Amino acid sequence: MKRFMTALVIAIMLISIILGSCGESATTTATTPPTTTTPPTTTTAATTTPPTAEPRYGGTLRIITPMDPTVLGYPPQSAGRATYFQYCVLERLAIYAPDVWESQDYQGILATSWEDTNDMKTWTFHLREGVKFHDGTPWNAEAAKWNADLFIAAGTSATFNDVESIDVLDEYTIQYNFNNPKGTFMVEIATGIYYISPTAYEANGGKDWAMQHPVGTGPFKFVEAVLGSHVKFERFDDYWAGKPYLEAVEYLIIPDATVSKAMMEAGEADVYVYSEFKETLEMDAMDGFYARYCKHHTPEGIWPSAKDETSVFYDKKVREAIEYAIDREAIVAAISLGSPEVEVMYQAPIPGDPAYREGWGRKYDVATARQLLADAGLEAGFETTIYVRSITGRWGDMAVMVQSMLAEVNITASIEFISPGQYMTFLLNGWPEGTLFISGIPNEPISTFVAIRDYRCSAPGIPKWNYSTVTTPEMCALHAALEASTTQETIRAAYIALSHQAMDDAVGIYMMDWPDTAVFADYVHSDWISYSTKVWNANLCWMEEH
Amino acid sequence: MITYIIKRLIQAVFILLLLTFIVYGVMRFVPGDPLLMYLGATDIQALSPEALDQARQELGLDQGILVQYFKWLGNVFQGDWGKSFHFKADVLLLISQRMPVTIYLGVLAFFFSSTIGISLGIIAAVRRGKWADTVATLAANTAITIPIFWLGIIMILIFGVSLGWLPIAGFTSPFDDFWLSTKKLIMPVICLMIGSMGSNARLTRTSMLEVIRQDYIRTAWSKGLKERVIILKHALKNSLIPVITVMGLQVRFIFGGAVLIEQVFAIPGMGRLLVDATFGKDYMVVQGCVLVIGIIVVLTNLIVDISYGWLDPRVRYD
Repeated sequence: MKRFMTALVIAIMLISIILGSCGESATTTATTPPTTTTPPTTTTAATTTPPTAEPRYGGTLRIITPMDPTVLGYPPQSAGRATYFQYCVLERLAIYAPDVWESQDYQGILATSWEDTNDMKTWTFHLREGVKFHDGTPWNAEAAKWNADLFIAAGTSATFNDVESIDVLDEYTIQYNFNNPKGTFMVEIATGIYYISPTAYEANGGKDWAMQHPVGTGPFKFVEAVLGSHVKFERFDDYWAGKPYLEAVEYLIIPDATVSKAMMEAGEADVYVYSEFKETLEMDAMDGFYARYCKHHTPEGIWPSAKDETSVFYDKKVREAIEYAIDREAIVAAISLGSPEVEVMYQAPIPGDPAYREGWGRKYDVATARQLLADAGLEAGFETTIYVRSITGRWGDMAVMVQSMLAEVNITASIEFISPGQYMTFLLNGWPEGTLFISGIPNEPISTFVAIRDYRCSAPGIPKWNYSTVTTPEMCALHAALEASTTQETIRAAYIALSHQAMDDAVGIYMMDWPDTAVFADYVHSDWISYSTKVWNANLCWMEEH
Repeated sequence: MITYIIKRLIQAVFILLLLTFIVYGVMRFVPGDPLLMYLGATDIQALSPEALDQARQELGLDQGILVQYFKWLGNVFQGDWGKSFHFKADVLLLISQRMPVTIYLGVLAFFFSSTIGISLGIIAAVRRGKWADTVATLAANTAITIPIFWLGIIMILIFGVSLGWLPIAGFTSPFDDFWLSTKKLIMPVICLMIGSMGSNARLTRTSMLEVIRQDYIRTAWSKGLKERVIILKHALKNSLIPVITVMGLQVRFIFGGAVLIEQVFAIPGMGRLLVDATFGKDYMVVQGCVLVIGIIVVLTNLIVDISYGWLDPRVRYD
């Protein structure tokens, strides 16, 4: 028995060591290295502004990020933050221009130019020549059509669901024909439509393989992904825009902000993206680091549910009263830890937007709030619930502050925290009538797209995936006009009218412009600037000796 | 003994069924539609209500919870543990990638908590009332009371950031780079073992004090045997019976601790997978993880029970 027990202990130890080693080997690996021999071109990389100092080749950029990628190489199912892992490998026809917030314009990547005809029902793209996928497959109109067909078959793109036909006009020209005008087609092109190698996809069994094996045309090739640990990419020497400076890019999946900061301080990472705000401010103030704030990333707000007259918020006066009752300045000062990087919002359009109205907004005024409630017959107040996405962080703090401010005007609000699953359900089916929902809105630089998405008047019953549940007849008419607009002038006019109407109707309480953040070691030269959260792929990034 | 083991294994099957059923029920009662978690934002915006219904049918989410549970159970026996809603990958594949890491971490923590804890307990008991006892007891009590999350962060700040002696996060296989792997595991293993080590030390001390007062130990002393022989050969074995019982129970605490420690040190183990899956309502993954952890805990307790016979020949399994 004694021998048996000794042997058992030794066996367990050995097995554990062997199993431990297996954990690391359970990775997904890249396909065969590219066989392309096309020399690097001298084309200026289209994505970004060049760095200011003299660039240097070499090094692995280690980027901390808090969450795993879910899908790496199957674009029809890419969503959310998971997509930024793809930027290194997969490319789009066009991306937002560096000055997109002002110009509302795009910049060609896999397409060099495009035009729409036939009232935005027909879109023609002229593709970049001389581009190859990492497996050597040539990029051309057939490859573009194959990718579009992949989206259509998956049925996950609202735009492609409406496609009438896709025509290959010549080797480098493709035409998309839609049944209805697609004024927001370019937003989808710039944000969601990535291109993968048809050859690699079909040779390796399709979707299940592609999910974790991206093969694109980007500046870096996929090497391996170990869920919960890291995702690694290496330089694609034949990249069409020139050889990238970095030898490799490695994303490290670190969920805890304190640990992430410690790793940066210990020199175990070079960049920390999607950094927690508190840690970002702390590191920004430290020697050896600098922070970047991506403005206009996530407007935070409070959304009253007011689908029908059973909701107390159906009355516009009540919605206005809520706005007046909330001291945004105080909330933002507290949540932003006094940082000027978080700006108070009183309206959805940001300064510079054509719909922005200087000085407009319902500013903190408890007396007006009480008067409006009295006018609505609710002088004695009422009870409601505030739903918040997370118990921790800014949303939880915001809920508590809003709760105390509403109490000042006799509104008794209880706070309920919702799970991620419940959050998705809320967005699809709405939240209970007569309640408030605190959440950020994923923003896009193209304001017309945001207006169409957020002020949509769905069919009677269920609002689908929008935060504003208020559907006044005026707003619905303006929304329909915006969707039907087919020239830049009419789109602009319709957008401004709809945006003003939405603000006048108090569809939601815009609270603050919450930035996206990243921290860099000071030896990292990066083009991660305001728009970059949607496009950054480390192509022009380089590191000094350190 | 064989009959006893078979009986215990049959019991274990029922325990595991009950465990998975409870977890399944709890996960399904958490608010939120699992279909929406599976599809994600992009799909939901694009899919029609009919397409959503079809997706619900394909995933079996349109059926009753009991039907879904037994369907899942049937599939598990056929080697199909379902698909992760979040990672869009097979649950068995995910667990097979993560489990070895957690087991490696857990076995190391278990080994060191046992050996160091028992050693401290022996020293404290044998040198009762002396400075060695004071130091060992103080160390054991401190170890029990330290919150491991806090300890992890403090160790990171001291040994990782200030001194730069140890890597802060991540996991490297010992076969890839043994030295780096060892360095990366020092802090997590200490955090994971420290509580159990304290418990083992205290329990060993108490148990050992009882044993060394027994007549047969006094007889051994009177025979002139060396202290080392008396303690290690005659006293330790008997004093270990209660310790072994507790060590068996500690396996579940080590897995519980792994959930925290893997999060702090960014170790891609099963504990972290379980946390991610729970927050994402990825109930197929949660079910799979709970089943695996349940099997490990049940089997460990069985081994502990069997070991009583080796420690104390008077124990019979009839």
